[in-house]
Amino acid sequence: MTFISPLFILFITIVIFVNYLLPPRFRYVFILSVGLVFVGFFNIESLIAVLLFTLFNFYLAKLILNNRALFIFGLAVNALAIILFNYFNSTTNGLHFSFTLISFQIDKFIVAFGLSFYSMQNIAYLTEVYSKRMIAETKLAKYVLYSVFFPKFISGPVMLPVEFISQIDNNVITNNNLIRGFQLLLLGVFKKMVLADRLAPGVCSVFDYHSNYSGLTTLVAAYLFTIQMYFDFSGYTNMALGMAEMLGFKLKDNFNFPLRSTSVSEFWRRWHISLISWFTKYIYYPVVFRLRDYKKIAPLIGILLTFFVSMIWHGIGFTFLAWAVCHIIYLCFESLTRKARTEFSERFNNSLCKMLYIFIVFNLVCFSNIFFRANSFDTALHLIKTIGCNFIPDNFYNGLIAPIAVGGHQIDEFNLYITILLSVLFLLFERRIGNIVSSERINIKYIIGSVLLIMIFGVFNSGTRFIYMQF
Amino acid sequence: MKNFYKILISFFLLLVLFYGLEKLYDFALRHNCNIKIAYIQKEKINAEILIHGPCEPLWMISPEKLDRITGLKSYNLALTHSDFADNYLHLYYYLKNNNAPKYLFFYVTPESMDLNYNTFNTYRFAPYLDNPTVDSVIKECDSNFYKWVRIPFMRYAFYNKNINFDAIQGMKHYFNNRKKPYYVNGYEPPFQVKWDNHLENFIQLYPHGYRFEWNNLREKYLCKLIELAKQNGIKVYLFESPVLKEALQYQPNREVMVNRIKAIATKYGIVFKQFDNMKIAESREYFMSTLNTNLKGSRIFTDSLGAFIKAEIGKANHPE
Repeated sequence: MTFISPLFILFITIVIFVNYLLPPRFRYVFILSVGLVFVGFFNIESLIAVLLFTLFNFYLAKLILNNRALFIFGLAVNALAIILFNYFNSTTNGLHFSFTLISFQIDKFIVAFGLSFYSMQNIAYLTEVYSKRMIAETKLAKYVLYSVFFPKFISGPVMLPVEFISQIDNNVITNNNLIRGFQLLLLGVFKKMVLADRLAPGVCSVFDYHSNYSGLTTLVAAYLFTIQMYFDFSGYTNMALGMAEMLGFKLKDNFNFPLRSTSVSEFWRRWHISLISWFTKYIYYPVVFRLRDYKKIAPLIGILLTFFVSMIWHGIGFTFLAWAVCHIIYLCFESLTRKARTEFSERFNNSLCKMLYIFIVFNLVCFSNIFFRANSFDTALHLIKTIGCNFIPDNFYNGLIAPIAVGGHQIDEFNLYITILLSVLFLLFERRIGNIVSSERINIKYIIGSVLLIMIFGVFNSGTRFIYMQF
Repeated sequence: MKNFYKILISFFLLLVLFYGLEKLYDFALRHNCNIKIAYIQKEKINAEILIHGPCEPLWMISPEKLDRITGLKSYNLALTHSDFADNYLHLYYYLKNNNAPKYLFFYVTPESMDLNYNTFNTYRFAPYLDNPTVDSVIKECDSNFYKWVRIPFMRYAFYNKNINFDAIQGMKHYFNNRKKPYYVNGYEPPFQVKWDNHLENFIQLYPHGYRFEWNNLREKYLCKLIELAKQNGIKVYLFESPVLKEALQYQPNREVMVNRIKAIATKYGIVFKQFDNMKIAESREYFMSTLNTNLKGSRIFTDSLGAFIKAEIGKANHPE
């Protein structure tokens, strides 16, 4: 049951309606039950795995205060879950355990969806409790709800326990919540169905069948993939935020116009904010604090470790390693040249320079995303090689337009132009659209406009999942 | 309360807009001469020989050439990526507005019987959902689409990527009062001149060869199509165009599939003609992919098919 399916539309409509009618004190029990059904819908093994982990963390949190060994044990178990999940994701047959008497096979699908996001929340919870920044939750139901709150379960946003659990007792749903939530949900559906899913086939065509394409084609596909991933993941986040808001909860926003960043460090402050906040709080800052005596090296080692962990979180493989190395280089370079760059940008502080910075950062991010998207390290290298050696296609139409349009017909070309036009227009007016959506007033023009665009240009039969569901 | 009215107004406005858009798309698609199903309902083609099937006959058989060889009027009703259900509905609509042809040459290969090849293109029939025959075929062949179609405009929204362009073109044809399609006799010359590496990709994907899987739904619609043609007094011929010989080694059960097709032909007392001994099957020079000949190969094949049809007509006219 993905967020875009007839079954889910029916599911969410009923849940929001029933939740709205329920007295506030019963709501969290209801949403908890719904969350369990949602997780169990993927498969019953997922539900069992999630419940076992939740119980483990809930009871462990009560024992870890002043017990460093138990705290480290808890962290290790959760970290192991992330590593195993990513290992399963990178293999096809699961892992076979064999002992003298017992032999069993863990299939990759037994591992719960969203386990990476979910384990990060557990790590945050144990750390907060251990460092006495919060008291261990006494009510199991509230903790389970924090873990399996279905809008954020699959792909976040990653919430710190204190940010979420405090909302359970103060659950209020006003008309404004419903309006804003619905408008956000609609924005998410629009981004996913009209923009991300329309871009996906062109990106797939180049990244998955890359053998004959020119460098320019590959470069355009790399640009389109970055834009597709942004629409896909921010669309998911908008939908999660919208649903949560209609259920009386506020989740953290994950994106703040990241494609307008003028530096890579700024990009990481605007992209997947909840995950980066987590990494910053639980990895970067502790490392920098520990190495505070080595002022120049400390941030560099902090960046190195943060991206190393980020790589493991995203997946185990050379492609993610290369992606992480790219960002380590970018950020270390920025860190080392901060002073010179600040002086330079003060001297040349005009919109043209700003656009140039945005363009450079966008290209750097797209370059690293070639590794992120490629099916293998060799493929990524081949793609980069084509950009360097075989840039201009022999025939502009057959070499550039046809592969990205996925077909050589007028209709494919028409669809490609429409997709690019819609994407560019959206990126240009994104801030204005964001203001409309986040206002508490119902905007008929926005609702009608977006529903019409979804119906006329949305992809209903893609069957594609959200990109970040794999993590 | 104010918000409630706003939501109510939005809802009704959207309903009205969807209803209006549905009518507009319906109108536009029916006026697009380049869409075969629209064209065959507007124009009286009344061909005596009908060529039908997926992209292979569409790109390989020129009715102009056939007309010269056979002396009869022919029309190419084939469509890209179409499966038997798709072909069945096109024949059904052709017969609604045209005289039944004397001969139907219908392309069938082992690939046609396998779900991994060709598909039912629901979007082609979106304007005709009100017809019970179309409705029942779509219900059976695309249940995923079918569960949405009662929502206004959803029949066009679902596959909008395949429809928007055609709708705009349909409006253009209406305003320009255009009556003839771009390809008047239905034949589209092969668009590709070079070998497309399809076989190389196929071998990479299936290094030990690919075993075809017989699909019962495909068989059902093949039988329905033959029965529909026979009910209308049409003499049906099944045929398979030359297949690039070097590809056959990667299809271990091709012969088994061919035998099953022959069994269907025998059941209906019709001919299944294979052009597997043609010289062109031995060289890539005449092909753009395993099944599709290029322009050079198509010309040679059309000549052979024409000669075969001429001989068959001769047999029919002089049974002794």
